[in-house]
Amino acid sequence: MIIDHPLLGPRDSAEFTYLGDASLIDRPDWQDKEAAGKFYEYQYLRDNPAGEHQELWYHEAGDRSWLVVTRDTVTHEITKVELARDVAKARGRSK
Amino acid sequence: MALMPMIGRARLLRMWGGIMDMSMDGSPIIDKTSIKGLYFNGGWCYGGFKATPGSGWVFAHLLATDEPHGTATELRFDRFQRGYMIDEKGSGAQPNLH
Amino acid sequence: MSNAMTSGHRLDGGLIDRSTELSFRFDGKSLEGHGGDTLASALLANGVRLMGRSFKYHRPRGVLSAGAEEPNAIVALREGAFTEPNTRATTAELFDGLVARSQNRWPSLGFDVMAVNDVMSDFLTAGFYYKTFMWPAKFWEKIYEPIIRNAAGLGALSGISDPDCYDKGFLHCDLLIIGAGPTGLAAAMTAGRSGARVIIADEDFLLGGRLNAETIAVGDTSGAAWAAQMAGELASMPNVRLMTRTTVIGSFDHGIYGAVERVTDHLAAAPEGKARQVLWRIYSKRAILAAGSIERPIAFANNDRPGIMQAGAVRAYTNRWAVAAASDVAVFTNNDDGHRTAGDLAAKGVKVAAIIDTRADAPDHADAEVFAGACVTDSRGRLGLSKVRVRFADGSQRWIKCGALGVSGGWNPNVHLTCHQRGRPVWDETIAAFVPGAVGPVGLSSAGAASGMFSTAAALTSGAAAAVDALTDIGIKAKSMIAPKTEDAPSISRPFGTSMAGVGPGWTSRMTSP
Repeated sequence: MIIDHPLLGPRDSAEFTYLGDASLIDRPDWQDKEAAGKFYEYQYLRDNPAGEHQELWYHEAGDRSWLVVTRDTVTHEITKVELARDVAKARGRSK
Repeated sequence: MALMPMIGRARLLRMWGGIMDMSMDGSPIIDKTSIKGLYFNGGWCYGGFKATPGSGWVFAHLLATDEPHGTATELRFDRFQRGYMIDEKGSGAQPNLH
Repeated sequence: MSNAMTSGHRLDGGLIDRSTELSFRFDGKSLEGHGGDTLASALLANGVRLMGRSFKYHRPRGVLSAGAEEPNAIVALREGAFTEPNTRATTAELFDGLVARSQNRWPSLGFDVMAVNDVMSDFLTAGFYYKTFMWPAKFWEKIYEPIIRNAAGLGALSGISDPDCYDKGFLHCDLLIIGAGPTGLAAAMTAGRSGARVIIADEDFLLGGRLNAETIAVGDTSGAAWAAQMAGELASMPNVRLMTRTTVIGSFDHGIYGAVERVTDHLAAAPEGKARQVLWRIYSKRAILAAGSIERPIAFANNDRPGIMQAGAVRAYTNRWAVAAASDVAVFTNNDDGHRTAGDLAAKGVKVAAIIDTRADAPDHADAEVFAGACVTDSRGRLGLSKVRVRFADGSQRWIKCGALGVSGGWNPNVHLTCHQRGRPVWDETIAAFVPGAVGPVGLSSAGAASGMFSTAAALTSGAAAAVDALTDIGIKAKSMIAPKTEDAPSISRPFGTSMAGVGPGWTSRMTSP
């Protein structure tokens, strides 16, 4: 599989390590009153779609950046690759 | 090849792949669901053939008595929420590592 | 006519190098062959028809094909730590000092004790083991299991560590062409001349595909000579990489293909430090499947005797390797292609016993008697075909003597790689075969026989057109190479899968294996 890194260009997926669903960016506030329930959902509940999926990839054998890849889990077609930092900031997170 | 160098002379006849049902802690779930009469047995990850007799036995017990078998009481859906994961590899909530 | 056989079963001509004499051993017997021979062609040239035993019933088997699809002539190549079990004799290139042993027989290929399975076959039907070997319980570990383990399998590893080393490599190209027959060569020439980066891979050691096996003219030269010419011109292009002895094994995501190159398997010994085989990962922008097609057999009782081959294989041995399958060869066909075998055999002075054509309106043939509306219903000759029984259009039956039977049931496009990544082939009624479907690996198109177009002219034009389309897709301008004039026969194949009259039950497991 080839992942088109936004800074470094197309790279073989062997240079990366896969983490999982990109919803991991949205870590709940630990001081929230409902924290226990929110962390349970954050940690263990996944939609697991057969289709478009946003996921986190770590460029371990490259520039060690984190990427959010939009990939179709059925056809493996990758339609978007962004720096995780950009996605997080767009979602209102600090980093 | 590193483990069994003689294998280099053999011919690969066929190989096959498929989709694995990975659970969040690498252990299966054998439990009733919130829908009456609907029971679940899955999330076996790579665990396979060897476990099937035991899996069938405890699942039959669950289906017949509506209560989990004594050896399978921990294999419930709500173990994640209660904090009782059965993570044999210790790799955390990352399905692809189980 | 009689001086066509130069020695044993050798004929004139062919693409072998008669100046090189190679000695080899099969089951301890010393034999001779030439450069360009495969183990199978050299064995046939020496009159060896019995090459193996079937998996389960240990039925005597001979070579069926002339290519990688060979199911019968499976041998153990080389000795000691280099022993390579389950090697197809049809793809093993002959080298001086080659040693091969037949497999799955004891004590010998000609007399195999395990053939008792064939006699007991009525009791050994599929699944017979489910209610057997259970009593007494303690017999399982000490008696039943060791016996079964010994009887199972075909070849055996030596048990010694593999002394060869292997390597991996990465290649990049604009266009990957899988197969270097007429289709692939036309595509490669078109793409090469456009300046695109091209990789063309073929599993054979000679480029040209079926052109090397046929007597089809391309332009004003023989097909084989044209292929050699094209290969020479492609080799001179710096933007084209020719890979022979290279099998493309898989189509992976995003235009990545896996290929295995057999670097030293055709040599008596690998040069010091050189990898025996290389696993290549080829990153392509587009790919063309020009993998040709495989001939189908026709089923009939005892259709697996040594000497019964694909009609196209009989031609390949006759034309490319200058070997007569036998001194009298019959043809069993349901299409026009089978008739070509008779013509090629007669041209080399081999007697054609008969052409048995299932079609009631089968055409006549100048070199052999044609029995229209007939079919083969049985055969005799346990260690080598001696005669076949034919049922004629009027219902009568008669035995016809022949040492080999070329069977042509039509051709199946090699759609394998298009079935990767959830691709599904579709049935084409006009050729009675599966062709690549609309869904398949992204960026992979097919041309020529692999896409169901069987004539040589169609191969050339579709190969060139596929290259132009693929390159246009990625923004490279290309012009189709001008295809020389060549045969453009339509393929008329009426499905005739079996001639099952007079066959008892329990037959179906004997088609080509076990």
